[in-house]
Amino acid sequence: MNNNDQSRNNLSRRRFIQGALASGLLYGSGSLPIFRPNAYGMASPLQNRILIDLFLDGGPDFRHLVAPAFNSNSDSFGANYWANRGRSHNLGALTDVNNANSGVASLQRSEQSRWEDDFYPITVGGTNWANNLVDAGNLNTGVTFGIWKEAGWLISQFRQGNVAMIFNAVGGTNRAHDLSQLMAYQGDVNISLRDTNRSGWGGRLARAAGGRAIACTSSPTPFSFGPVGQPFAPGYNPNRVDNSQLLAVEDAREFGLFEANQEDGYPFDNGDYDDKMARAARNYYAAIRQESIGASYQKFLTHEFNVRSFGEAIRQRLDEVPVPTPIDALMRGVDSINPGPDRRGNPVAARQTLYRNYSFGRQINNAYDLIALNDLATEISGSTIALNPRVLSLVYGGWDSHGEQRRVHPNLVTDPNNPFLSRGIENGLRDIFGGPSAEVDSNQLHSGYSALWDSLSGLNRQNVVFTIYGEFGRQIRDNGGFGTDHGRGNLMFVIGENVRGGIYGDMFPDSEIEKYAEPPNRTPDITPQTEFDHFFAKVCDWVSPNSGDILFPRTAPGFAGEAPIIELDGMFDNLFT
Amino acid sequence: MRVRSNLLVLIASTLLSLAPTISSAQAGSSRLDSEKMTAVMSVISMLLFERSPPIPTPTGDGFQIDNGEVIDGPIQIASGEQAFAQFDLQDTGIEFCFDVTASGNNPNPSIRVTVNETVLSAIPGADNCYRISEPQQRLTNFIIVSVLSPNTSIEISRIELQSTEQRFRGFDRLTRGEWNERAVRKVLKIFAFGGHAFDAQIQAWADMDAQDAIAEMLNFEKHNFKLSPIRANDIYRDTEQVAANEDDDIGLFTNFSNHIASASANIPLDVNDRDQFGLDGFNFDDGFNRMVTVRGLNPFRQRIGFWETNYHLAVNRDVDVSRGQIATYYDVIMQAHEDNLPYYQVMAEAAKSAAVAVQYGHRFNEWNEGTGECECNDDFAREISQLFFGIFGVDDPDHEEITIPETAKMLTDMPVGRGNTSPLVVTFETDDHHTGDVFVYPNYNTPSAGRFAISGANAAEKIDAFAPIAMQHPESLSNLPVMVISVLADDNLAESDRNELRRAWASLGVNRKLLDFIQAYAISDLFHSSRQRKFFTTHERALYLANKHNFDNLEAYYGGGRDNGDRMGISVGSVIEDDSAGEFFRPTNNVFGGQTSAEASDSSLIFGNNYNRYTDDESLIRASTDCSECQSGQPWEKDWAGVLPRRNDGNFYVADVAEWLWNHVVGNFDNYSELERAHLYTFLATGRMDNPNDSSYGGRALDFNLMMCVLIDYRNDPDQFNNPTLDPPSDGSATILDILSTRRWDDYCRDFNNGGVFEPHEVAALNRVYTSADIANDPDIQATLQLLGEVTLPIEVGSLADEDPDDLTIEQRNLRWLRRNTLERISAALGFIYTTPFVFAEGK
Repeated sequence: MNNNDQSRNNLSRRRFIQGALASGLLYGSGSLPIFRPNAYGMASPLQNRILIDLFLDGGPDFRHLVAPAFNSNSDSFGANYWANRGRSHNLGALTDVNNANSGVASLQRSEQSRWEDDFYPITVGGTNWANNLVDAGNLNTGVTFGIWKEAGWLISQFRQGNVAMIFNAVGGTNRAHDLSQLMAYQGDVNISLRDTNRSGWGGRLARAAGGRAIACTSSPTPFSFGPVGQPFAPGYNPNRVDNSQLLAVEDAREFGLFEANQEDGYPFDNGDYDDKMARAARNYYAAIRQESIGASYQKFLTHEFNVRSFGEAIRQRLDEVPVPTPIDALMRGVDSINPGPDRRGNPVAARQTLYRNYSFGRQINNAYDLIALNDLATEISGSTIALNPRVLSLVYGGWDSHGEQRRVHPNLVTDPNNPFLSRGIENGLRDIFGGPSAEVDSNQLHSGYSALWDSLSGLNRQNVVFTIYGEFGRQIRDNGGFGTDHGRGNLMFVIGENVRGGIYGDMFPDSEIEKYAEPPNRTPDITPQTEFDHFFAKVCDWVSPNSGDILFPRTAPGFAGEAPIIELDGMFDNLFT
Repeated sequence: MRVRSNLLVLIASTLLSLAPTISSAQAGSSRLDSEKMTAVMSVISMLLFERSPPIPTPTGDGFQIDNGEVIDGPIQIASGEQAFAQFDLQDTGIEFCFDVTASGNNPNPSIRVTVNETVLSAIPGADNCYRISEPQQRLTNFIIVSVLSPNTSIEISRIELQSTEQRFRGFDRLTRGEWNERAVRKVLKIFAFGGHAFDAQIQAWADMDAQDAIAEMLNFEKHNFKLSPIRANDIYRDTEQVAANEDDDIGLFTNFSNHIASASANIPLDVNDRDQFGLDGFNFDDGFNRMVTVRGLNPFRQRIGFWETNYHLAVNRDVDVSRGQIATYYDVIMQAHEDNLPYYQVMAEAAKSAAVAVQYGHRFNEWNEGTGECECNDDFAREISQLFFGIFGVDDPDHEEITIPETAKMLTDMPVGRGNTSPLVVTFETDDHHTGDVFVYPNYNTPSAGRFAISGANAAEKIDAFAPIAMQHPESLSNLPVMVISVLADDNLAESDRNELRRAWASLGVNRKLLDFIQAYAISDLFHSSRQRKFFTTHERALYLANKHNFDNLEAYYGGGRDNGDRMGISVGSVIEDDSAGEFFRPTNNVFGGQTSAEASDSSLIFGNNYNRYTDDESLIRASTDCSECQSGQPWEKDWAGVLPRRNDGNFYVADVAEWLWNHVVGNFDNYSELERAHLYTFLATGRMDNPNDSSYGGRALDFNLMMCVLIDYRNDPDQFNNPTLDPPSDGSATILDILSTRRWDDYCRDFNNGGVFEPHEVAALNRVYTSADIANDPDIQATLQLLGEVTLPIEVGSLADEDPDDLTIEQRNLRWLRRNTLERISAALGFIYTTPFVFAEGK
């Protein structure tokens, strides 16, 4: 990028504060709308329940995260899994060009040692199985599985009964990324690629809840696209998009429009050209909003209104809300957390704790901030407009692991928390699910969700639910590129203190075993057995009571069409406590 | 008599087509048949009996013209005289066009055109066109041209009669009358990041036949000097060098990157700062944006190259594809386009590239003959069908289990060198290749034949054999043309639009060229319909605004950068970075492409970034008007005078400049209302005028609300300062220009004269929302705007804005400040346009 542009400043804090004063002092006289932010005080506890959705585009291999126990019995699932996944776990000697070019070492290990060393074992109904956990339909009694040990937060949350792991779930019924992503975003497996202009299930949920979907990224995904109308009212049309409520907040602390600084009394100064431009632009938008302009430009008027309405209030509030240290440390070196060599090998006192995706740290920070801002409202010409976030959308990409799914750098032996080394998808798994846990390592560094969870109050934890999933899964056998190719079924997560944690679906179906023996050029995958409609509808019901049937109509009693498949009838009836 | 024959044929065919209906109607079998009979009689009546009566043959010189005929002329018509053309009834609507040249002292004579007794007018210039629908035609039709103004004469030429229903490569296309400056600007905006052509060239294209014009506008040559001219006085001209050996031409991305990174390049950037833009430079992506914004190359080629390599056939530096591999990939694809290869061959070249082999990892794929196992990933085996050709296998139950694994076998033993960190080409080997045939897609030509067998000794030969089969796959025929246009040009395609794209695409056959398709689409009714809507991605908007902003290559090379504190041009890279839109060749959706139109347009953040850039950081463009040493050690000044419209008196008037700026950026006047006019006039026309000895002479422009506040404050109490020597007239009669020319130029609408607080009338004025209607209906504001519109802009007074003032007299220095500040006011007005919604999209 162009670094000749250093003089360009970010939004000036001075201007924000003075702009706020100006809004109180100057606006009025029946001219511009009056924006009165209730921006005083600290973070407020959540007034309403909220969904935080994390979409993992690319199709994550969650069989890499949650694996069957190694088993020497060749007829067992565990034996077949490990025999067919040695390359994706990077266990054998990698003798071909993969590693010759990458400079990545391969540690020769047995499948058994990988399992024993790197996975936290849990036996359903037995070892490490907490009494409050659910095994829906008792499909997995006695099955031993393991959660990758570096996913400390996930292990801890699972053990506490907060994690519903839904196996054999399907979002996209095909193996094409774009179509499957669209299906997952919209919550509808029956669409085609032509159906791009439809609402997302997050946008529908926010609308049903009377609140707002907010993308914690620079651009919203279609997951957050709102429907036309209100789900419970006439005129509701989920097959069209109305994004008038949608916000994209890449950095809540820099969100907003520059305001003219009018009270300094020197409107003619050269240095105040910015004020003149800001005043002209503000008044211009206020004017054309009253006029008729073409449909191609309407959405930009909406953006202007939304950002102007909330920007100043958001920044004012956040001035009083410090960034919690674990969240701050996700993105930069803080407080001697994670000392070690920097990218160039020079020792530094602190390094970021995220491994791969800096943006994810920013998204986590935004999620924290937006929760803190949940009661924010502005008064515009006598009307109160609430921020009321009900759905937050996060994205973490890079899961299309056709090759080198797991890398093992020799430096990890001495510097296991080095954030600059590639570990394949394990960087991402660690960024999302890692964190200190009593079960594995209470000193493990925070990762994304553990930092957020650690920073939330007890009350806020009670009002948050997380969904984590991708568009599809991977094939059950690894490929010649030391990765895995596209498959259909996968594991999906619903996490929260009100979630009845445990196992939903047959973790390792016996019917899969014979697939491992199919000819080399066949492409067996996890057979889809449960479409997401069922459990996403329950999530919707929890966030906004009685909305599930409307937002996922195929789950509604008496639905006339083809109902979504489910592995076990009624499996999610008690997904929430 | 051909037309009359056609008429009879039409009647006869109508009757014949409905003959069975007539028969059944005679049998009295149904009410429906009776209605059809009525319809038949109505057609006959309309054709024969209800046509308007004949028109007497006019006086004057006349001539017959036939459909499709062009009469070059010229035909002279003097004052008080007339000439006429006549044509017979056609079986289609027609368009009658001619060009007018005025001679004599009156450049704008009054010209009357009578079309079948309907009186209209013409103006000097090209393409005076008149449509006459078929029902409006008489059996003989007359178009009469007469000159009403005294003592003048005109010449009419290029007289043409054409059907209104014209086709080009499968599309309905614009007629001569519809193909105009607006259409040209729209094509440039969508397909060439705006291009670099100046007004005269744009008008020349508008005056040409659309097919001829589009061939000049959109082609894949490395240099298109009409689309991207270098101004005569521009000293940075490396890009106009056409190499004898095209492999050495600077129009190749690889060569361009190497060139601008070199010490020998004649570019304004410091030699020590050039490495960053080269193939090994950290600003490699900014090097590419120079390739779009620097004049002398071909922004259409780069527009398509950007789309091919970042969207359609995307590769990604974040997946270890090296800069060199990407540049080579880009050049291979665009050279194939330039060589006019069929599109399937272009895609085959892409599929055989090192960049793709690295991107998808199939450079490691090997066929193990011993185990019969493909030691492969199937990533590109899937995506070559899906992303390159649009084939998902929806009607093939074995797509996943046969076509994709078989394609994976096709893509074996194509390593990207060994031992070299960044080889640029694939070596196609055979030892680990599945040398036997592979079988893909059910045979759509002969279903009984099973699947297509793809033969070839190595992967390259198989890819070449595969590509034409994929190209004609029914799914590809359905999806690929929609994929092309929906990303490049239209976010609002209805199913009927998609079908039209598919028909046109299919009509071009297996050897179709992408260029043929895009050229035809670019002049089609479909593209120019009111339904078309394109939301700009961050990259498109940043590049478009850069091309609108820069006139000299110096500006493009600097790209918003600084030299000795002075700023030149406008940045592309920082816009993309602020929006997190992903650098060039780092597409945010990986192989599915960069930021989409929806992702950009639905982002409140991206809107806010643009707004803040041109308000909070407005100096980024306002202050990029001159520099002291940036032009090879010499001063440079933004040459507004070279592009802005100048009246015959030699002056630049605010009214003309405002209109020009709007059209230059937006491309049409759909949304140029009183509101826009008021804001632009104010930025352009208002500046301090009272003190030539001050560096702010001509500067410190007002915004519209501030100007109104000044006027209102003055009129509220004209005598508030009580100093007749310094004050404007105390009777309230002063205009805004009067006020700005007194020592009270900055004393009105201030808080210091009221204890640091603005008075209520000032607050109200500063914050009042003036709508277009408010402005149009307020005589006082209208009078003010009239006054401002006639202000002239002194952008040529004195010396260059940044010449060394030490050698100047006081008067020369004053003029220098006046000139510089006026240049800044123009750029400020331009910046205001950049804040409006109309830079985010193209459409109605």
